[in-house]
Amino acid sequence: MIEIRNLSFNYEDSEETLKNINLSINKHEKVSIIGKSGCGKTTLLLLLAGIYKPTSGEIYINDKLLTNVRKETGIIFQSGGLFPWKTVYQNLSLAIKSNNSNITKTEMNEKIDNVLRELDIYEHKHKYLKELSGGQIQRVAIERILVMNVDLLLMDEPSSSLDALTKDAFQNTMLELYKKHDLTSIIITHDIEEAVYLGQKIIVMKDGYIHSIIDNEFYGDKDAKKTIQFYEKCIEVRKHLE
Amino acid sequence: MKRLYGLVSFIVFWYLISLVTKAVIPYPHDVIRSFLTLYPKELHIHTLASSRRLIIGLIISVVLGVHLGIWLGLSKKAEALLQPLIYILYPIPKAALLPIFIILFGIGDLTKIILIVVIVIFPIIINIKDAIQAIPNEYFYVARSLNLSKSQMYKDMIIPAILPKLFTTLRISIGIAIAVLYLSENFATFEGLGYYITIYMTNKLKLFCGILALSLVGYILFLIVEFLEKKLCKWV
Repeated sequence: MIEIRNLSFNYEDSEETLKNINLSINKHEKVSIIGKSGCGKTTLLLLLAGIYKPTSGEIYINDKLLTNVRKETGIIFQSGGLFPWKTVYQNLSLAIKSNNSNITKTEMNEKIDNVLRELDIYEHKHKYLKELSGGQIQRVAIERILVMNVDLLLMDEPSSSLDALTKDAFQNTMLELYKKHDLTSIIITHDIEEAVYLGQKIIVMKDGYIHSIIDNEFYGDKDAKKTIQFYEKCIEVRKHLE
Repeated sequence: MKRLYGLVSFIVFWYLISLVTKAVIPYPHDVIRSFLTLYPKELHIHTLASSRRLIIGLIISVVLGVHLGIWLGLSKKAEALLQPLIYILYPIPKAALLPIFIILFGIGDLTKIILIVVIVIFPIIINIKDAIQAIPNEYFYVARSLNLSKSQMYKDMIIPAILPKLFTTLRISIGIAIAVLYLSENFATFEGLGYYITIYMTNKLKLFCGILALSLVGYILFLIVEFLEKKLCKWV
């Protein structure tokens, strides 16, 4: 699905942010990327989204060289990345129209209603974001991805502004969606437990490099989440981070 | 209801000032009575002339100021090129240039409108530029990832994002524009509330009727801006 070859990137007038990244991610794989602030995680995500262009190296998605943003890639940001001046409906319809300009209004409304029902926030359809909680905003952000029929989901610390209980609910919603839609997904997180819970593979980044790639047997295992083995895995990841 | 409280408080305050100044400032009832008599006779011509100059000046300032502000906010080259020029020109007391404007643009409305524009446009440019630069990068990334066209980007992201700041700037600009208008109507004109107020400096009632008319013009403009803000910025 994703093949990154000798990827380097630097911002204008600054030293290299990403240094010679090589990485393969399989189709339908769920990957967590973890690392300290400033290690280049978000930059890597923006490169994968096609928003930034590599300084050198290539990214291939489905064997095609990535040169621009793809219709089939969805991104969820820390604050959801939704436009606060649009209602839930308007945010979703903008995403649908940008993805499929030929869609009729009836088809669009049907599509929006279906995903709103799927995530149980249909009654908020005509509300502005200020009227929603942090968890609800993230659910709308997920919906925006679902209505776009994406095959690759990129998330940049999507749960960092949520409280502990909402974060748990968000992670479980993500797992349900993974099962249902079977997307390839990459989540960037600061939270080691989240990285272990939501990643089949955990990539540890340090100073613009990929420091290590850890296979994870605890992905999506609700029962394992409270076991010693799960926390031992978290400690293992932590050691790689230090 | 809040507006009614505000109006009552204002009139009570006005009475107090009139009492304290021993009617140097006329009583509200005298001014209102004279205003109602004078408006259909003579004041309306001056009010309409001032309103016309004010509205045209504000519209031109907003259209030009918003475009320039967006350009400066989005383009680093434009910012590097124009920002120093704006910061040099902004503090110049443009009202002092009025005689030059009269020579260049004549004694008609154009001079007065241009004076309003050259004064009001600077805060609009600066505030809009700041509003653009305050849009979180996240929104630009989302717009890119949604593959929004340039026109969609303006319609769905940039314009709505700057609207609250634009309305705040507009409110401040109305006050500045009225002050500038008063000054400009003191020269080379026989129409306008600035002219009316100045020629009746020695007639307390007419003077205050002119001031009241100018205040009402400003108040109506504030109400229009408030109405538009409520309609267009429901999300704030």
